[in-house]
Amino acid sequence: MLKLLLRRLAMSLPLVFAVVTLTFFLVRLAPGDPAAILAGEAPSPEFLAEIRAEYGLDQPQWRQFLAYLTKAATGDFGTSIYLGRPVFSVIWERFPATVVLTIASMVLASILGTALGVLAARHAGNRLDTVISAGSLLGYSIPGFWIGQLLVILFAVELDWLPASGMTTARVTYTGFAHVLDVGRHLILPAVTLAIFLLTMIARFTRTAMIEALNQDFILVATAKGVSPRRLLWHHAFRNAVVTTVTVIGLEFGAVLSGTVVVEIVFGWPGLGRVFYDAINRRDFPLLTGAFIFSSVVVIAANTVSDLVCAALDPRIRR
Amino acid sequence: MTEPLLSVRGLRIAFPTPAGGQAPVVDGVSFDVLPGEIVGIVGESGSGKSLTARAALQLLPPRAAVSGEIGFEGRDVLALSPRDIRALRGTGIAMVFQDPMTSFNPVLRVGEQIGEALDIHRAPPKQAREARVRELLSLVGIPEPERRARAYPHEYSGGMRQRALTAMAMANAPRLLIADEPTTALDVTVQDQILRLMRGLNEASGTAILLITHNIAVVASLCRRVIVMYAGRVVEDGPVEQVLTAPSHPYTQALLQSVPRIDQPAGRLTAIAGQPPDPASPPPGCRFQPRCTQAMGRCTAEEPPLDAVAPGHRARCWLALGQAA
Amino acid sequence: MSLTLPRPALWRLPSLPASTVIGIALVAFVVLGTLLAPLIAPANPLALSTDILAPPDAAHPLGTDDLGRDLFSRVLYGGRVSLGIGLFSALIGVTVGVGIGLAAGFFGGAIDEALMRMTEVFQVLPKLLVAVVVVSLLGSSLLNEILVIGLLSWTATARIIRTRVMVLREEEFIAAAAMSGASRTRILLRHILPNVAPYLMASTTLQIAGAIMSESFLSFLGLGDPTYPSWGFLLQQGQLYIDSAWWLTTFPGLALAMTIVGFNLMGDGLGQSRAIGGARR
Ligand SMILES: Nc1ncnc2c1ncn2[C@@H]1O[C@H](COP(=O)(O)OP(=O)(O)O)[C@@H](O)[C@H]1O
Ligand SMILES: [Mg+2]
Repeated sequence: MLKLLLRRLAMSLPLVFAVVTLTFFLVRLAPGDPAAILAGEAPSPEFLAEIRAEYGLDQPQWRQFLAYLTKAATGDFGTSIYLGRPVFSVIWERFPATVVLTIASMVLASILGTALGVLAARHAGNRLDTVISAGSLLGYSIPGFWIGQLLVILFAVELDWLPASGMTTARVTYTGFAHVLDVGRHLILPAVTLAIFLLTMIARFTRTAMIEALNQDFILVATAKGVSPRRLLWHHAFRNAVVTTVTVIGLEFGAVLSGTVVVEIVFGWPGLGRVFYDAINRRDFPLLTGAFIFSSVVVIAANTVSDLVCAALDPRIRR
Repeated sequence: MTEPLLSVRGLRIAFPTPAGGQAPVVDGVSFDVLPGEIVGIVGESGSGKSLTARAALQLLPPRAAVSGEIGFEGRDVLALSPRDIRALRGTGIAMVFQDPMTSFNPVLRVGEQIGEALDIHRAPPKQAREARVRELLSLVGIPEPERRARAYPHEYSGGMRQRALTAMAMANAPRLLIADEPTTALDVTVQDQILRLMRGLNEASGTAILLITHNIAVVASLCRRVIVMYAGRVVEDGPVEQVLTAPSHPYTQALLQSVPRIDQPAGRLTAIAGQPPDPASPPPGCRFQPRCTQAMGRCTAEEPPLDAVAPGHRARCWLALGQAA
Repeated sequence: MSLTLPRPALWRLPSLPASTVIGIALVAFVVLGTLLAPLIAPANPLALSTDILAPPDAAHPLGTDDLGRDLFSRVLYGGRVSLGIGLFSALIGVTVGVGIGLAAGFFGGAIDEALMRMTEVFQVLPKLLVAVVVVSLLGSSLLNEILVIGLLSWTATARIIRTRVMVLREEEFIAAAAMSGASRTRILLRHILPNVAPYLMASTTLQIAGAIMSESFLSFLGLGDPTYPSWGFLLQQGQLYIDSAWWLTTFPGLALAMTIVGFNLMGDGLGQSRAIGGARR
């Protein structure tokens, strides 16, 4: 297991390197002076000079690249133009809200998606299967942020059951359990919205994997032993299919994190997604590239974790 | 006379055809297995051997339409409720399948899977279960049972896996073990070991064995009685010495001529010219008649019954019954 | 048995699965609507009026926006942008995917290994965020959007084509062609490419769906080309008035959802259809 972890890390580091490299070259590919891009609109000549010095823009390209790498490796993504604070501290401050949102929706998607996928597989070819498959096609075809907008219109604007925006109620300070409840109420709509895409992907792939598993010889052998249908389904078939489920979660994590950007805008959720949005609209490129590298590292890490979980679940992957 | 342990009467298994009809792939099969006996079923691939065996545990695909009777210790297996059949599986009748590679769940330890067979029927305490698993593994000749029980199926060789599979089938000391081509996927030396293991188990525990194979040499070395199937029907049934030395049915004769030698890998029995009939539209008269070198007038007109040619020896052939004219 | 004569291909259309037919109908409906926009649209999509944020009524079947522009017309014209970007990015994605898939599947070995590693890397990256950064830095234009979406969306096609080519490579007629002295390039172009062609239909259709989705994401974040407002762009505007003008979000989103669902249904059907999969042998 330790060996596998090391090997996976050895595969992840070049990926992180690739992301940082990509970002470095993008900033240089962008039309105009990189210093101007990093300094924001209409900078003073002194500030431009300062930026040049900070990023070593007067140095040869390879030195700039080295400097950039070193900075990125130490979590130094520069200073936000608009906020005038270190990019990393801005990201770090907003990250927990995104973590809460992401985890809530991933838990929801995993439980419901798995249940629907298993249910569809058990009734493969029947009407229930058709309904679930059709629903899952809708789920990954309809843009999540639009579903979010509709939910806001319905549940917040029209019915006024749930808050439309934010993570906590404004102008009221709850503490303890009341605070948790308050956040929970604000969390429901964005978490559901964000969960839909992942949920349908999980349902779709779990269904296929379960159908495949249920057709394997070992299911027949276990049946011949006298194993009950329920145990066949969960202990034998699902124990095989769950590897696919976990792989899907790992592979789609990037899509989920990208999804938080739009979902956070729709629901005014104060997380990393808002950082992206603000950075885009204020042309705050140090903040944007920093948030991008940070998110990519999170995605790569999540993928590594999902690979390790798969290995723990399937002895054939372990080596 | 002893009561038969398993008695199959008029078993018919049919599948729906694309045209909307029913194609019987097992048709009117009847035979007995006595307690403690080893009986072989031989026949070309596709003759209905596996389906016959699976019917004995209600393990047929849902699309299959079954009729007839399968008596086991006086109860009709086909009429058992889901709950009762589950109680019978593994305890009364156990099965070993053809491909040991795919018969184990790849993500569960071998010991766990054998232990599961024990848990389902008697739920022993953990220590007793583990001890019994080790005992079973050594019974089938697996060295270091303690360590092997903790291994995963992919860490076993093919022959080891078939041994472990047999151990799993023997876990609840079944009265009947149905082994469906247990050695087909293995190489010759390993085949021999597995067959010897089966004989040993039969002698030691008195478990009756229904051994399905398309290799007639395997039957010769292990079985007391043999049932020959062709195109969903039993065509000959009798004591091994008689059937193998003086076969009554031309199909059995052809099988014996094409017998693969024990020192060669078992291939499919392809030496008989022609193809078996399509179950959806069998030929008129005897089903073997289009491929039979001795066919005559009556053979194409009327199907022969399965009748005695000698005491305890039956054949389904006008010629053997002396009624060809 | 009745005599079956080869019928014209069109006649066989009804034998497609119902879901595929629904998909084709949805796509046809949307495509027709956008193509005929100049004929159908009640107003110029840019024409301002004093009728600001008016709910749907007879004059404005889908209502108006904050500048009094007719939403129905804007949705029709917005479809041109969304569909156009979808189509062109999909073509780029499929072309790249086919190239990579063919190379990996046909040459195998180290080339395959390298290309598949690259595919894995691309699959792991948060593609939409990459697109966000690229378009932010390089500027919002139709071309940039098309390029970035296209170049980020070739992995699925590459995998399908690679698998298919590997199967084909083993098949007899390829072996026969090789023995008769055909060059590798010739085998690739004359034997393998025509045989993967049926898969391209399905791939392209699914890619269009994905590309339209990606475009709406970028536009919703304000990265769309403001001179060519797509459906995602309209939804971004809708967000501003979400608590007062539901129509601004509902209708552009409905058009978007219908289109993506349509292309996905079509692609799934085409991918499964044996008639198409085994058409050219
Ligand atoms: N699930 C099924 N659906 C339709 N036909 C089947 C199915 N399973 C088996 N058959 C048909 O039944 C016949 C007998 O099969 P089987 O009992 O497996 O033969 P054997 O074990 O003697 O090789 C074969 O012709 C096979 O095609
Ligand atoms: Mg068989």
